[in-house]
Parts: sequence; structure tokens; C-alpha cells
Amino acid sequence: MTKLTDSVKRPYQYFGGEYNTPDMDKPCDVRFCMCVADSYDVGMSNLGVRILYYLFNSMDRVVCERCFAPFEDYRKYLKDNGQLLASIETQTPLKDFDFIGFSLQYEMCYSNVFMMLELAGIPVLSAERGEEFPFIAAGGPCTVNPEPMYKFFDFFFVGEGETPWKDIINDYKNRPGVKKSEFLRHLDENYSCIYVPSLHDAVYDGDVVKQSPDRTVWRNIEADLNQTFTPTTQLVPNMEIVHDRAVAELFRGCANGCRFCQAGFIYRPVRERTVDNAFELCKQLLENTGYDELSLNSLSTSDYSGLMPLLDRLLPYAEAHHVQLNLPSLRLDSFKGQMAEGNRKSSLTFAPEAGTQRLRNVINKNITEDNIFGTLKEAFQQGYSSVKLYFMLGLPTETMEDVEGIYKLACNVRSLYKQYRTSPKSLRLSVSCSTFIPKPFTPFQWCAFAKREDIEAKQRYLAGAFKKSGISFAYNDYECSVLEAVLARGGRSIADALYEAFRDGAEFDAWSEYYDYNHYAKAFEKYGVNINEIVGEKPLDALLPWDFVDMGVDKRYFVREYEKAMAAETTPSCNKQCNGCGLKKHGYCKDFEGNRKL
Amino acid sequence: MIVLKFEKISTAALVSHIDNLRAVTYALRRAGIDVEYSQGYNPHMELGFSSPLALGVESIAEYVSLKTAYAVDLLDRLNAVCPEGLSFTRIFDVADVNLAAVINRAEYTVYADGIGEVIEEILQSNYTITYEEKGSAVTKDVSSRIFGAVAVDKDTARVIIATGNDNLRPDRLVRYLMDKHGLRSDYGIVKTRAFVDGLDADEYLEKLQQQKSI
Repeated sequence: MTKLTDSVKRPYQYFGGEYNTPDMDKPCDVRFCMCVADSYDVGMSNLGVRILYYLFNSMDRVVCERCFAPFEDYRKYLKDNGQLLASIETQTPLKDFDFIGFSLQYEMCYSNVFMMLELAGIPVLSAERGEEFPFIAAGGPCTVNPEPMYKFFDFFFVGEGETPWKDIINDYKNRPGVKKSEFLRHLDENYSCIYVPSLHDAVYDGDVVKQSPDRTVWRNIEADLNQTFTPTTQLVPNMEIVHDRAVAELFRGCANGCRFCQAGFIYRPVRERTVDNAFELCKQLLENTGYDELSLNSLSTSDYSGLMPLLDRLLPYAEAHHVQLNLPSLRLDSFKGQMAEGNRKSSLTFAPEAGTQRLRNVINKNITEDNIFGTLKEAFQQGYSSVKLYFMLGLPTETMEDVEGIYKLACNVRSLYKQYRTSPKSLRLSVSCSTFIPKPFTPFQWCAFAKREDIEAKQRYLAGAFKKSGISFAYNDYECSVLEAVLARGGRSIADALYEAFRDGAEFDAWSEYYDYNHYAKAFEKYGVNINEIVGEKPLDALLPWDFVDMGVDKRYFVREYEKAMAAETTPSCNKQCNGCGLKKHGYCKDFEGNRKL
Repeated sequence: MIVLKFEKISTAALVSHIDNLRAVTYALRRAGIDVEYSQGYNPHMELGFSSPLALGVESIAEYVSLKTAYAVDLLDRLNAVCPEGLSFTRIFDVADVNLAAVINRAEYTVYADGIGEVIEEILQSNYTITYEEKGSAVTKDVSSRIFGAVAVDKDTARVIIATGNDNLRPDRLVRYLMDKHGLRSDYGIVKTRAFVDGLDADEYLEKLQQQKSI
């Protein structure tokens, strides 16, 4: 044990022992290993992984364990000791499981998938894995465009997992000794949310898809969050993780329809937990974990229709039990000073996303400067002194005027602070500009990813403008963003190059200290991948690599939203009216109009 | 004030001191034990631990003080909600104590192939060890921090060395000895007792408990 701690940093992350670990010794027929291709502290913070982990472990004769991407020191330790990558809980080699499920939360983790499979002694290519190897499956938001990884996974699960995953595992349990190919056919025939790429060919001309796989894959949508499996407990890591607190999911989906936001479309429609259910969940999570911090989680917590009644019950409970409440994702237009009362006056985080009203209309971020300054005035009067503003560069139709608008807006916040401050502290204002990536299943899916010269000129302008202002300014490296764009928008034609980049040394691409675009540049060159074709603009009638996956939102709706964007017209929140995205037709919106129950 | 004696073994030995503070806090909260919080901007449970253990070193002699009412079932309630490797073994009801300040020696049991045959050399006067600190080798006379050493058998030894301020890290001592004598096995270290000068910390706390009840 001690040799391990001499050579491996934070060895705890590979060995578990967390409180609330389910029974690993129960009799079991199916062993599932839930993997996140990122570090322990990132992977452990994911809510979807938590839900499925407890779901599987709640099943009779099923055990689910975990595995995360190891850092170099532990990889060396494994190699020196002749060991394969194993699960955290029982240190069982990954190759001895029945299923390995990767939760793909962001595209930049793909190289770590290869790394983990290789460390586990499992062939990376699906076609090279015989009966002796487990099923390698993928779930999570990246599977809405599964094609870049089609060669590596045996099947993809698209959408929310609670109900179908349970059925899939039961089907497997009831077919002892089933051949893998036979079970994959069973999944393909019986589960509309499952995509088995080996059963469906696609035709490409270079990087352009000519023929989609002959199968429509439907995103699974859980109908009612109150009826869906929800764990009332969490693993309590003995080391600090990214989101180290109890997390209660208030609702899924988002009514706002911001056009740049993939989550706003691929998690539709809004499905709320009732206030009673949400309060009970919060209480049980806190009691079962002992955490002294609680997050109310959703895509837009301030839009929760029961927020005030919930807080009326939660605030006294939190006060009595020394619990700090976190309310993430507060949208500028619905932030109310009263919500922050009683909490520590920490920093306020707002995301206007664009510097001018015109561009905010294009992206359908329905906030005006009046909203922004009205909210901030109130916050400053209450004693807030720290503000973070998030913007994007490279949005469709963006001009230098919009970029200058970012600087002006920040300066106006500074003036406002001088006028209304009550805090003795000086204002801490930070502006952060990420680079916009047009993602599948958004109205901007046809738009081009911005050119390097364009983005870097804008970044230079802002860096210069902010330099003497006392406002801190941060931005993304272009080479990180361009890879994310390729991974998100690519098709089958980039698969070989991704694997090649890994063999050339790519790993932990989401971590700036490990990321090196050169691995990809070389691989794209070698395999003749034309990234300009992939990230460039597409005509509205072009076939897209992900067109065979159906989010339940009509493609016509995306076209309509695209056209409105180009005309700088806004679309109201689903709370105000039904905009006809198509989900109602499928019966998912029947009890709700936006967040409010009809 | 209550002092709890606890064990930190198996995977819990991989938990750093600061993370262990969180683990103990959460366990106390799960057990519903009403511990006094600090006042001020960032209220936290007021816990006073004995000196930190090096990562990877197991212990059956850790102590933590807290302000809560004595209850006979406190240990049972707490142990029902502890993570693997963490468990509470004794409870003392005392007036006040600063554990990190008074506990100044500890006994460690060391397991390594051949360690028993070389351990007693550390009792020599002017005994120096060499270890790496921040990337450079440091050589230091540590004899004033060594209070005892005995071979239990060929592969097991016990040492009593300084802890707290002016401590000697047992992992450094053991690595030095192993390197010096070419011992290449994996090794284990368990803190088996803590002392206030020459007095076992358990006895010291028992005395404090008696004083309080008088």
C-alpha cells in the first residue's frame, strides 16, 4: 500500500471506499462498469452517472462499479506491476465485466476512451472484440452525434437512461449465454433509442455524408420526473471533487430555446419535479450524505415554477442544519435579489452571451440591458461586489460592433457599481469569452465555426481594451475549440484519425495542460480529413451526419429558428406559448406548457 | 468537550488530513450529532485533530476533539455511518484539551522484509537520515526525535518517534532505512499508539476525564 502512495498522487481516487457504496458482494449475474473518460473528481460530479449507478445497483443480481481515466503516475504504477485497468470498488479488471458503459459528457474526452480500453487490455475497435470481451456502450449527450466514434462502441444509447437501461439489463440477465451479435440484434430491433453502428452502413464521400445509416434512432425521454428512478443518496468521496455537495435535480429540459445551446434542444421538454418531491429529495440527500452544501440543479433553476414555495421550505431547513444553498444557472432576467438573501454574498455569475441587443436577439438570449442593469443595481445595493460575465465570440452574424459591445457592457457594469455600491470592497469584475461552437440539433447546426484569424483578432481587441480597465479578461484557446467543433460535427470519416491522434499521444484533451492539437493535426493530415469541410457552413438542405438521430424536435423547426435568427427575430420561452417544435405532437408536452402545469 | 479516538485504516489511509476532516464532519452530520459550529462569516464544525498522518500510513490511534454533549450511544451512532476504514473506538469526556499541542510522540509498527534486522541502528547517537524534500536531498540529524526502536521479528519493528511540531515522518525514516540496506519490498506503517511525553494518550485522556468529573 505504501509504495502506492509514494508514487501515485491522490491514490484514493483509484480505490474508492466512499460512504454509500452499495453492496458489492451480493449474488450477481450481470456486472456493469460505469466509466467516465475523465478524472475521478470530474466523473464523480456527474448526475447522470450517479443515477444509473444506483439504478443498476438497486436491481436484483446486478452489480455496477465505476472506473475513471487514470493519470500518468497511476498508469505507470499499473504497468510496473503488470496490472490491467480495473474497477474502483472490487478492483475487477474491466475486461471481466459484461458491460462497460462510457458516459460521454463532452467530445473532448474521446481520446481517454481509447486510453482506458487500451489500459484494460480490450481491443479498441469494436470489430476486433470477440465473445470474450464485454459490450462497450456509450451514453450521455455526445451520443446525439455518435458517428465519430461508430467504430469503437458496440452500441450507443441516445437520451435519458432510466427506463430502457433497466429493461436492457434485464433482457441480458434473462438470456444467459446469449451471443453478443444476437443480443445486439435484439437491442436494434426492440429499442428505438439504441444505435448499433455495425448493423447500419453509411456512405461517405470524403468528409461528406452521402447516405445516412438506414435506421432512425429516437432519443429516449422519461415522461414524468416524479415517477422516474431517482436516487435519494450519493457517494460521498473522501477527496474533494468538482461539485462536492448534495445535488437535487429540480427539472429536466429548458423552456428558453436559446439558439446556441444544444442542451436546450436535446433535453426538451421541461419536466418538473413537484415541490413536495423536490423538498423530500433535498432532505433525504442531505441526511444520507451529511453534506453541508446543496445545489438545486437544472438547466435554468430560476425558471422552476415552484422555486419560491420550495425555498420557503428549504431555507429554514438549511439554516437549522448548517447547510449552504447553491443556486446555479441563474438567468439574468429572472434573478431576484430576494433569492440571494440569507446566503453569503459570493459572486454573481451572469451570461449575456453577446455584447449587443441585436446579437442577443439572433441567439435568442432574451435579455435586455435593462434586465441586466436592473438586476445588478439591486445586487450592488445589497452589498455584492463580485461579478462574472460570460460571453461567446464567433456567433453567427457577429460584427466588431458586437465585440465592442462586450467591452462597453462591462464598463457600464463598472460605472453602475460606482453609483450603487454599498460594499467597502472594490469591484471584482471578470469577463470570460468562450468560442462559439455550432453544435448538432441547434438552429445553428448549418453555420460555420469561426475562422482562426477572425476569433484571434477579436480576442486581441478585447485583451487590449480590458488591459487597462481593471477588469479581468479570459478567453479560450482557438485550437481547443476547433477540435471540439470537429468532434461534435464530424461523421464516420474522422473515426480513424481520432484513434490515430490517441496513438500519437493525445489524452485528457479537455485539460489545457495536456492538450496538444498537433496530435490531431498530424492525424487529420494522415487520414485526409478536411476539417474545413466539417466545421464549414452547410446549405440548409444538406444531409448531416447526425440526421438519422431524432431528438423529437422537427428539423423544420430548426430551419425556422435559423431563419428567424438571421432576421434577428426572437422566439418566446415555451412558458409563454407553444412554439411548435414538434414534441407536443409526440405527446411529451401534454401536461405542461413550459414550466407551468396547465 | 468530547475527545474521540479513531482508526484510519485500509482505503481511509489514502485520505489526506484535510479530506479526512471533511469525512469526519460528514459522518458526524449523518449521525445527527449536534456539534458546536464556529461563529463568523464561514461557520464550520469546530474539530481539533491530533497531528496529521502521512498519506498511506494507517493508524489505530488518532484523536479528535469536538464540542458536543456526552452520550453513551455516540460511538455506535457514529460508527453506523462511517466510510470504509474509518471507525471510532473510544470516547473521553474532558474539560478542554489541545490534542495537536499535547500529543508529541507516536509509536509506529513497521512491516517490511528484513526491517527487524536493521531497525535498532536508529538508536545510535547523532543518527542522520537523508530524504528528498522539494526535489533536493536533505540530510538531518534526527536522534533527538527518536525515543525507541525494537525488532518484533525479522520483518516487523516498532519505533517511537516525535510527532506534532519538530516531528519525524515515519515514512521518511523507513524509506531511508530500506534504501540504505537495499530492502526492496513493499512496506506498511501503522501508527499504533500516541503519547503525551512518556504517557500513553489514552491514559492522559482518562486522567483529564477523571479531573473533569471531580
